[in-house]
Amino acid sequence: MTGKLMRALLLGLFSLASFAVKSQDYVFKPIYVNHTETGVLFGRVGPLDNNVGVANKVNFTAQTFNGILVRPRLATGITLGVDWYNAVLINPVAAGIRYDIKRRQNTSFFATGDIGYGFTWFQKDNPRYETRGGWMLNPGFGFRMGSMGSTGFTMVFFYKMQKAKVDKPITGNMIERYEERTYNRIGVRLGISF
Amino acid sequence: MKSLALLSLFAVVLLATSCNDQCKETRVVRELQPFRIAVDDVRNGIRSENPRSLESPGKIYVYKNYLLVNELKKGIHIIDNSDVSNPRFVSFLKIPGNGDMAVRDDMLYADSYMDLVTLDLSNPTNPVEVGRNKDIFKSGVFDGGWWSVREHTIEDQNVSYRVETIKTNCEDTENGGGWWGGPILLFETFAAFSNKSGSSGGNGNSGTAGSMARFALHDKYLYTIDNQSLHLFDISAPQTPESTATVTLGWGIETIFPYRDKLFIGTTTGMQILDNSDPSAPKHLSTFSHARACDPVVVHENTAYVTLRTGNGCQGSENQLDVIDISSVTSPKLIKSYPMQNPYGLAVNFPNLYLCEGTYGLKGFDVSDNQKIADKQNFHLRDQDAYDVISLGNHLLLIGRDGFFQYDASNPQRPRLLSKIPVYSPIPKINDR
Repeated sequence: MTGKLMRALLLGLFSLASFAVKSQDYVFKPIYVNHTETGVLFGRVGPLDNNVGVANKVNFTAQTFNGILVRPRLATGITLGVDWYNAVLINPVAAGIRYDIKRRQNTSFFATGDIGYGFTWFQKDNPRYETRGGWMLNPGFGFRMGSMGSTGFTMVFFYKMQKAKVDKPITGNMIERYEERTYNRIGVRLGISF
Repeated sequence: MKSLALLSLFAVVLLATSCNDQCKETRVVRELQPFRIAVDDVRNGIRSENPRSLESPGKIYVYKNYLLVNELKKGIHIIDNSDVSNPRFVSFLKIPGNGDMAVRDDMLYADSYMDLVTLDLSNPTNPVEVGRNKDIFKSGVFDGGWWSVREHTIEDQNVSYRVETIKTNCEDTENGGGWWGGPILLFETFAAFSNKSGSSGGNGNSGTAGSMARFALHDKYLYTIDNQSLHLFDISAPQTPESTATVTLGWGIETIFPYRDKLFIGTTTGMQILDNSDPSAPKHLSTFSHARACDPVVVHENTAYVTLRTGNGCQGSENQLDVIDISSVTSPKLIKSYPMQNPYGLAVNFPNLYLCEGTYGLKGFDVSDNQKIADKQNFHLRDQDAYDVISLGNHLLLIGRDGFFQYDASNPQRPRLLSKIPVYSPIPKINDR
């Protein structure tokens, strides 16, 4: 399963890269683009079946986007990240885009989009638990401050959906037990781009 | 461009309104319904029928080119496995209350609730009952449901399954506990299998069973176990097994695994080692105690591999693989325990160990270093249930609730599927792995 997803992601990235090279032949020299940001994820959970109320969640997130400017306003590339959801440490690997919606001299307003798969490479499970990742979707918009061609500061507001699955210990008269998780979070990231 | 910006903003706001984590836990739990059946109906119920598909398979057994697959409490499928890529159903042998079997020289020995029946298997399309030892077994368990005999009636329990779903807080990693189901004092009879050293006999042409078998052949004896005793049958006259001895082993006896001149008995509280150098009179040597759980055993040289399982009516809270040093059979010592998910049967073809994880699939380990088994997992087949496995060298036979599979395991990292016989399962298929 994981191998297939990796292949699909790499194929998607290869397609984007091919598109980029083709475009750059006619429009651009290859221009490397990097967005590296860290921030927080805000979410809520509940109420639950056993009279447990709503609880707030705040978690750490960080990611780096490495891509190529393939159109005057559009960059495509790969996004690698790390998201901590209290009980699960997930590393998303995603195909990403950054699109400048509006530019001024030293600021720009841009849209972001990442879609990929969150892996649990560094997750340490308790005995008899087995956590696996799942699909990840991460759209958002942000501001960049700094002149074009130089390092700038970014602030991104985003939504992130992350799937995960956990096999849990079996007890009593159970024969199967697992948990499906969908993390729905809004968040903000601060970082740099160049 | 302004519209695009507004659209993006709208999309983000829309998505942000659903920022609640959504997590749910799904469980399949077992339920029992009592029923009764007359002893006479059981004893008159044996007959050969046309082949039919697998529904609730239990133990599997290999004899010559045939596979014998137990249909829990209903009988035995006889399958011609001459072509492993295309096994062919030959017949269905209806045996009410059947869960175990052993074959030597074309004589099939099978339980039928309280009786031990002998059937001539020389014509696999039409096996014939040739003998019956009555009232050998007093009680037993099938798939978590107890049966017992009272006068002329058998009181039994049917098993059904229910799916439960609850919301969670997306973080709870506590042990699940048992409050939703409650512990049930039950043992497992679902089968699991091991290597050729399993219940193969020492004489004649015997078949192969595995780590959770309750029948075993050695020398001129058939060994059967019930919940507390080991029964010995002299099968020198194959059609008329003679009950020669009964050895009381204590409560909670589950499996028997003969290895060289020893018998390894899996119980709910530990592993017993019996000296079998005199096959007519096995003698208790030692007991390796562990937490209460269901526990099949396989052995290679001076190492015993024991899986402890909870759930499915097994008590306790442990799901693990215990590796035990049996170089001194009078004082076995734990080498190391490895956490597992829900281990059932296992088989060893050194240095490869195959371990069934129930609904969590089949795992393969390199056990050449007993201290690093967890670090040397060769593969994990998640796509099928795995309850029983027999290893015949590089040939793996695997039974699960969704099918009977055969693999070529010559590459221990990646077993190659040779064939599959689908199973109609009464258990809801809820987890797409």
